[in-house]
Amino acid sequence: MRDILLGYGIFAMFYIMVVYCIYFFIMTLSFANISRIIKGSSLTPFDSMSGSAHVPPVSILVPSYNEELTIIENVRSLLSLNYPEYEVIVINDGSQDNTLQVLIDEFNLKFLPNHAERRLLDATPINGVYHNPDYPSLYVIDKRNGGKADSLNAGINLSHYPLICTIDADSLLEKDALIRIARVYMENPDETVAIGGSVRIANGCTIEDGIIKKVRLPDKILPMFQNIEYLKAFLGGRIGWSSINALLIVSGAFGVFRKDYVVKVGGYREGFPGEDMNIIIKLHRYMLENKLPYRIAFCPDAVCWTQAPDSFRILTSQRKRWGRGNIKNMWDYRFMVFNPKYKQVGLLTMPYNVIFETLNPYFKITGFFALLGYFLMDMTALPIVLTFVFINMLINMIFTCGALLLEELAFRRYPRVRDLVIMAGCSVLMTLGYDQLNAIWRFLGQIDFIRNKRTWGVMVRKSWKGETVKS
Amino acid sequence: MFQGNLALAYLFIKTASAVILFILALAFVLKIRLIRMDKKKKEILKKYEAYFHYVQAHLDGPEPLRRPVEQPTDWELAIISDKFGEWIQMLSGSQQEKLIELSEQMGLVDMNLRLLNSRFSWRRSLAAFRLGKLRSKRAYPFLLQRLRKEKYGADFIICARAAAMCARDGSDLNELAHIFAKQKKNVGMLAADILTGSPQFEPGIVKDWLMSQDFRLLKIALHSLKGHAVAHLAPVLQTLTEVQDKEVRVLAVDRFLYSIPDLTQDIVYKLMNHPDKDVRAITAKAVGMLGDAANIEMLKQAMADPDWLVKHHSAKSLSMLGEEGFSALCEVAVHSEDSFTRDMANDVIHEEIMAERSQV
Repeated sequence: MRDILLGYGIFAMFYIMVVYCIYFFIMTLSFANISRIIKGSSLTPFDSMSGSAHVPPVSILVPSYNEELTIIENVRSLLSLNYPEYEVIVINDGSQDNTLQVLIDEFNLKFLPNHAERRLLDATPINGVYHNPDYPSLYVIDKRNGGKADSLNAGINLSHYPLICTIDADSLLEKDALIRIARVYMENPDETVAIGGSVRIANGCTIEDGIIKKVRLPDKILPMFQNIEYLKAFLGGRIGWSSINALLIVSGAFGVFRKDYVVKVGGYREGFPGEDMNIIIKLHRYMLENKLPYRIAFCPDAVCWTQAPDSFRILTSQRKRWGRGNIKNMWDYRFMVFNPKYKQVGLLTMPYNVIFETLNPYFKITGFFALLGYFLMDMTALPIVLTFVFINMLINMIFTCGALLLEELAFRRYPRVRDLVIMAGCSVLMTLGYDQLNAIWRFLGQIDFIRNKRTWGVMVRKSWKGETVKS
Repeated sequence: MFQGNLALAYLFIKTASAVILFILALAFVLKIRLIRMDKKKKEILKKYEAYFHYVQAHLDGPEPLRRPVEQPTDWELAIISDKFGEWIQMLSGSQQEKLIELSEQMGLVDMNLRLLNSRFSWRRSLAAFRLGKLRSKRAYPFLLQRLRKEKYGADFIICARAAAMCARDGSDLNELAHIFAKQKKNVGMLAADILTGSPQFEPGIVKDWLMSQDFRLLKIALHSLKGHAVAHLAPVLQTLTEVQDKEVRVLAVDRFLYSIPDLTQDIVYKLMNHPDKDVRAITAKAVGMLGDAANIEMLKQAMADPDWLVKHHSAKSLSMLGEEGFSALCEVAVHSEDSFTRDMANDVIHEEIMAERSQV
């Protein structure tokens, strides 16, 4: 037993060292690219671009299920973006609340049968389209419930423009978020198949008429932790991964895609969470198998604000869903892992994701028990165990602080010195329980996958004014 | 098992702690610096408030604008440069010229030209950006020189945009278009956005580019013509409607249809029967936009097209061609043999009725 534990300990040490080396490599890439990002984001005349005839038109797709509390502000914010030509397509995915009715009432929408629906992608047949010529760029599709992926496919079928933008109904886009993404697209339109935007936590911010008026940190601890987590993932991670064209996910909350390629890969996958990762893997696969030059870019200065779950129950449900989506995607595309045909995606991102994201909970949980075993079997002393845990905490903190530094260098959304102090303090607290809980949630998500659980899980919608509804 | 390495672990803890403290200190310094810079900027704007009022009040008068009494510091010049840059974008005609002239006299252009040769790429890009906003024609050769040294990327684009804003005439834009055409990426859309944003741009300058054998330059030309109807370029555009390159062909058809002064039924017929479905769709759309009722029969036939988009644009165009067009659409809705075509016609009729009620 002692030998097994010892062997496992050595293996786990190497595992952790490799994870941290890759993290370090990716964060270094993020820092190496930050100067280019700062220049592009601050020295581009977005005002004049947002009136330019040369900016490509975009169809914004908003899949909505039971979103009556947030949908109006969301649509209002989308209708007032600084962008020359775009349309907003809300897809009411068989909501059981009044999502459709509040939209009809607010925008005085009228029913269009839309019998001659364009079938670019398979999707649940729609009941019809609602439209009002006074809001010429707004369309609302009403359809039976078929899931988020199905709704996106239905939205693509109706869309009129060559680029599609997917956004969650409980999120708000900054006014110039789309034009910032368009800048990145226009730099290399032939090769750009998808561009991800940055997602930030809106809890704590002051919002008026669907616009973020004052940026503040969340006042509750769980959204606060998620805020730091998002900064770390988007700034520390995705900038780096995108610089080597190895981004494996464009957040479902905000991303822009070339419609023709989304159609070529068969659109979004139905019946499972993780559709945002799935579409990116499919795009990588299609482009690499057909030997087409391409890039999946990331635009960190294009910001979407979203509501973060503020209760353990909802957060557990969300993270379990993410865990389930992740393992499902890795299982479905396991042939790409370590396959040189898929270049950096097959040789770096997917193996990294399988070994260090999908399997991470097992190592964290078994690692914890192994440490307990060392201690109980008198293989080591408590101070040594504590030292080991402390080192882990410190390394995690280095990465969090790196993300905070990137934020200060380039984006500076949180204006006060005290915001930085709070975030630095919370990055310490996160390592004492939250990170471990995340591993457990992912593990539970994988159990759900094995049990073939297919539901979306518990969701609670909150209006931007604080009203709450469960679904 | 780790006892032998405990000393190493402690060393690691010290090092990691130092790294964390260093990163955090840097983040705090940046934050505090930014807050101070904001404060300083506000102070400078306040200090020059009266002067800015003077400039605004005298933009229309015949006499030249005077410089501030005291020579501003470099910091102040940078803030004033940003302010004037904003105004220059908003103004036009003699007001704009007066402000450009004042920027020159105050040394704003000289200051940014000095920075254009800085060792730091951020300063160079910032200087180029400001020169573009100030529309300094004197800066054009310097920006061009800098542009030639840059690889395609953020610095290149910032510099190119600035050079286009500072261009002295069409030949400068011609020079820029050729630089864009040398890039390996397809930058037609971006180049068009930059070139057409220049005060010196007029559609006629793309004529030579349209004659070029270089498809990259052709694409820049075609993108630049978006939204412009240029009758004298219609024959050149027509020759491009048959080229192999899909992007060139589709763009050329679109620009041609809106440029040709006498769009004959023969031309429409030829384009509506083109093997490329995108060409057919663009033509169907343009026919409705141009409002020529002579093409109603052709649009009716196009409603039988196998491509959804061609069908859709044909139906929409029919609905735009007055009563005659609308009757033809109703006829398709009733008599077409294909149920999908009937549905399409019905959908558009429904939309039209809704739009009409909304207007009432």
